Amino acid sequence: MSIIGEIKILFLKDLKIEYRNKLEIGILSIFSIATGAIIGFVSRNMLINQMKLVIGMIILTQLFLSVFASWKSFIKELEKGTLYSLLLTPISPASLFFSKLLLSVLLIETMSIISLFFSVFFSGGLIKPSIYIVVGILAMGLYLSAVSSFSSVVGVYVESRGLLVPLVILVLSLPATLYFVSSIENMTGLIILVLLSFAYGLVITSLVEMVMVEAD
Amino acid sequence: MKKLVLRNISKEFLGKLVLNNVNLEIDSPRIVLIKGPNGSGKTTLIRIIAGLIQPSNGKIEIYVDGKKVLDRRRIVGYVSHYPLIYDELSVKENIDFFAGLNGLKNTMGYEFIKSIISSLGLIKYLDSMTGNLSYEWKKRVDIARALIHNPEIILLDEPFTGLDEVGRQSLIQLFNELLHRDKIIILTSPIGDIDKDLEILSRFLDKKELREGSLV
Repeated sequence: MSIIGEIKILFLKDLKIEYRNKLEIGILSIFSIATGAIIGFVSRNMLINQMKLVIGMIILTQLFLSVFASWKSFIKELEKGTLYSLLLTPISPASLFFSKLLLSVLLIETMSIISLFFSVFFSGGLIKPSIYIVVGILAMGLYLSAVSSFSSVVGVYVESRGLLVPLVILVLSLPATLYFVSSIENMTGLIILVLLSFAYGLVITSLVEMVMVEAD
Repeated sequence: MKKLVLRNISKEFLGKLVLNNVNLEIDSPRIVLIKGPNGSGKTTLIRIIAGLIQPSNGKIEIYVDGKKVLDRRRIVGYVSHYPLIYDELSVKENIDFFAGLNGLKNTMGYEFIKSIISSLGLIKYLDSMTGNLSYEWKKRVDIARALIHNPEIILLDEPFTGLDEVGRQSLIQLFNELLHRDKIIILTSPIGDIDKDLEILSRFLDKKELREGSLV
């Protein structure tokens, strides 16, 4: 079977499971709406239009989401034991990784858009994101999805994953966030972020390969 | 004709020797019972054979019709002592998912799969959510999951634990069918259950105990 076929089967399974976990999705949606509302209301009291601060706050929301996405990725499969049944099938490590990455991208990007939409709505027109900012936030979501999947794979190896995973996400996202926020206007940040996401993709795929030979 | 060969298999965990120089050679059709108290390395050995753990020393070779098998995952089916299936999916969805990952489409079109589902008594539960089933029925679904790709070597970790008499009889019936299909079946048993398991197995087996090497 082709890698695309494997990714499709794995991704559809994850999507079906997420769809049935309506409570989790509902709570995440409320979280994104609430953070959007807070960002919107806070921006009303700004003396000047501090767009970079707004971006920073949305990235903070994405950070929380990436910790959650990390738990839902490989760690959840490990804790339920189903990682072993996946590793026993003749699928490629790349398929396993990309299906999990796709789910993280879908989750983080959807919730980021909800958060951005409600921050614009509750700001009373004070937040006016340009197309560069919207694309930039989506690129940051892509980057954090890669970081989230990476930390999830790392979490498979360690007992204290509850502490380590948020720490790994925070440490890996800080430099990118600072660079992204400071260079948002000239698109350099976006290009770097997308390149970094692909680099993480390669690292994680090789890590999944390691998990497949020593998953205990 | 299938052959499984274990040569000088040893495994250390954090400096502690769990398996010491285990040698085993099995030709099909054959059932092998690995017995021992908790912590004696039964599960470790069976996981090494499955390919989930790498041995510290030694190697495993599998031959089908005289040819050495390179990708073990395609010909090994592994059943853990806890079910490795998705609670959020129905029994049929679980079977379809794992069959799909093994390159099988239209699952119910295969006579082999239909006979396994039938032998395990799963037909009436195909549309039930797996999470709503009792431990025993989940275990049966897990056995179906492990056999879905018609493996030549079947590894079962404490398969009779948690099964009632009807479940045991179904499993024995299934073992009989698998032996007639020229399979190698390896199962483990905790020390307390050995007599009961041996009594069950001796009804139709040529018992072979692990004499070469030792489980530390």
